[in-house]
Amino acid sequence: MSQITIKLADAVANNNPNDTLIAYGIGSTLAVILYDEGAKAGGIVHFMLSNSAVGSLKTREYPAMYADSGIPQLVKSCVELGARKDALTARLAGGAFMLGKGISQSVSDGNLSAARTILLKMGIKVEAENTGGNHMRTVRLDISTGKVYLRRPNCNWEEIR
Amino acid sequence: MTLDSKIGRSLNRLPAFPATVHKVTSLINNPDSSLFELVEVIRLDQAITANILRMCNSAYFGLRHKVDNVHDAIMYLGKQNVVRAVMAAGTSRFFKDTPGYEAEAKDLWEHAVGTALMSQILAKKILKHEDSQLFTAALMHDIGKIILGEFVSEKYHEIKNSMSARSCSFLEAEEEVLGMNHAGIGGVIAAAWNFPQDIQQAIAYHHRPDRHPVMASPMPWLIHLADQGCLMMGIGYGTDGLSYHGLDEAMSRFDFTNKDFEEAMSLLFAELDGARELIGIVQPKVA
Repeated sequence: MSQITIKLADAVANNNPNDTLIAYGIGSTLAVILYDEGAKAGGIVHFMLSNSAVGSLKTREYPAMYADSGIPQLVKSCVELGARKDALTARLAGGAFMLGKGISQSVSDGNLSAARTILLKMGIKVEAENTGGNHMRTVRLDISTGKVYLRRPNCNWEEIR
Repeated sequence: MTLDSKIGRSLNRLPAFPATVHKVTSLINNPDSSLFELVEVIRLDQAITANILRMCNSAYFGLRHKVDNVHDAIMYLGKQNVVRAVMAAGTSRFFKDTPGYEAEAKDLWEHAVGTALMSQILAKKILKHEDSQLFTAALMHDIGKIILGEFVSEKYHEIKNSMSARSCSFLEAEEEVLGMNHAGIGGVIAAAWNFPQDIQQAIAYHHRPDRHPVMASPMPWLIHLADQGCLMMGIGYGTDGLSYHGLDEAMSRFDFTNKDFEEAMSLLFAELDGARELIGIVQPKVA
């Protein structure tokens, strides 16, 4: 059984039942976790901003940095591994912000609302969300079961249903 | 022994800051100094010499042939990069695991480098130039955690309880439970290491630049924003996470828009990605 780490600005799909995908350090950024139960395939994209239009030529080398390019990229990769787009379901984790709101809340809100809109347009249902607060998150997707677990610092794993 | 005196004793046991770093900074800021003098000073510190040569030969600088002496390294790196390389090589040795913040040395170091790089991205946009002093202060902004870590660890539950009871930040809870916070201790460390007062104060006020006695100084505000960007992106985070104040005024005082900040975050990601190897070769010693 191997554990595959999804870094920030990374989108990875997988259909190996022996694998687990894990994304650490989700702050104001957002992880979108997709899974098709029939195909037993899914993936995680960990993006940091909603809209790729803010990027320069240099930053467009990282499509998974943004919701509008990263989510479609992950959907495409899942479909290539046998998932059906209309059978994919989504879970969202992240979107923390600092006290006093400000820029961190505006970035988190932007990420969350972009993810919801894009998934809705693509016909992908959001099954669960674990967002907000001012703590970091780690999420894990078990490919064999599609179960998604979340951990806060100094806490145990809990399933996001 | 009281908590105050225990923390005081830890401060007294702090090793001296390498003199080479201050000498290099003052030589580079002195237009009358020669390259020869700079080479001689750097050569005296073996660890710094080794790190500069490794940095110079890393893929980050993309040189076609191997550099094997300090003189050539300075010629290739340029003065600004020499200051940064020397500062990074001199400072990294103090980073160690901090149990209270559940952060490993490599995380604290990555957060320090990330904040320093972000401070320069912001300085270029806001001040229209890079700033070596700001780079240094940003690199050291959380240095207080290396002293305060063990005390935060002992009183972690009290700090968490204070945060919930008062709905306050981690910084304010540290202050209430320990009588001081990591930013203030960082300022004391910078003073003990003979850094200029601007740097001491920028470190001490990086979470609350609105309480800085000289409000006009942009340094603590820029570090506040740079730190915030790194925390939002999860760069070298600890258990304290985002439990700090993010001051709106930090953006408005520089007429900095949300779009500007998002652009800076994406640039930081690209810079860090390019600097991975550079960050890795100055791995701090894990205590």
